[in-house]
Amino acid sequence: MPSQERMNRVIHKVLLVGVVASMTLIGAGLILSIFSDGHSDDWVELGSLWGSIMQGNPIALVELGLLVLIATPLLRIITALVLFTAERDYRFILISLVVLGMVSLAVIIDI
Amino acid sequence: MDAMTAVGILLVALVAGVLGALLGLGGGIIVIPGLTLALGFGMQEAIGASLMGVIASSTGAAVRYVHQGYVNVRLGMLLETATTTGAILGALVAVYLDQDWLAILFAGVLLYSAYHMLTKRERVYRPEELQGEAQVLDLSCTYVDPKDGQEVCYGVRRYRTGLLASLGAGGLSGLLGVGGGVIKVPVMNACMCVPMKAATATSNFMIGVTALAGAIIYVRYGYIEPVLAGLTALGVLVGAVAGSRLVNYTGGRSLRIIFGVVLLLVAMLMVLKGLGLLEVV
Repeated sequence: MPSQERMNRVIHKVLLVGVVASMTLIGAGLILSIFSDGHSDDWVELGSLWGSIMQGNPIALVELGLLVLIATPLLRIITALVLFTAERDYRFILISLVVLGMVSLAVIIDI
Repeated sequence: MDAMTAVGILLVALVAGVLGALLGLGGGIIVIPGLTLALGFGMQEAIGASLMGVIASSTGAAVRYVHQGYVNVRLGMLLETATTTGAILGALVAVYLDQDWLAILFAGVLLYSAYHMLTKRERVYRPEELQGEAQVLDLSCTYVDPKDGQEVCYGVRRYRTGLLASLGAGGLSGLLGVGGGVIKVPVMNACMCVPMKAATATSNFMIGVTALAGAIIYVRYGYIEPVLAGLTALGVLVGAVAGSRLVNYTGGRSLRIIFGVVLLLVAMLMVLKGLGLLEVV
């Protein structure tokens, strides 16, 4: 089945990029935090994340890595949705949308 | 945080990553007791780190499993609709139910699954052997098992029962905070006749999505301890990438035995939890 191979190839790439990027960011942030003084280990508010990275706060780098990690499965659902749409596989378009909807619903109602 | 604690976190995470990748579990069952009981962290920061660990384990292992074709993407996404719905329902009704009785009930389900895993032989059907509902929704999939070089082409049976059981599995993880992988693998393997390697790989692929909502909420409220969560995620990722290579040297039969033993251990933990002797799982 050619569509199975294509699906696997594309999703493999998405997951690989997510894993390598988050490992690099988290690893770099943790190593830098050993050698740099004068920052706290506390959670950086997401609003000021980018500014903190620019100021050289290694914890903000770890946090960015965690965000990339969380974004990976989300991106993988969206990728599958795009591929199912390209194949006009309506049942699985619906299935991907339900999964996305349920995750969003859980976040919205705060479970 | 001192260096010894950091090494301890990394070790717990590595073990969780390897086992999680091999067996299709999120590893929360190792990470949470490891961080709270052994290393003295609080429950909330441990759960936050464990959620990151589950996503790390799922993603780290799935990279290789998707590449090798072990993951049945369509089956995984179909069952994700049920696990995510179940998790929401479970969390909504959790306040009305007695957690202790639930834990004991869950232990019963686990014991039955363990009995099945340890005593029964695996049955796999070729897609053309299946009648009825398998033809309504074709979820058949093919992979090459590098252990013997054989191409395995299997059809998926009873997807409606599988959906219902996944709803229950999602519900339990919403109610008890555990139980995603330990239910999904036996359901796929025993009820839907998915070969063990494909069942663990597909479960691995799915759990990242089950943990997703929880992780987003924890991040939004800043309930995450960055260094702890970072170390956990990194350790689990390395462990999962390593563990996903081990599967090539393991047969489906040995995987079932290891899984059965883990099920017995988790059942024991659940009984302890139900009796009020253990608060940390």
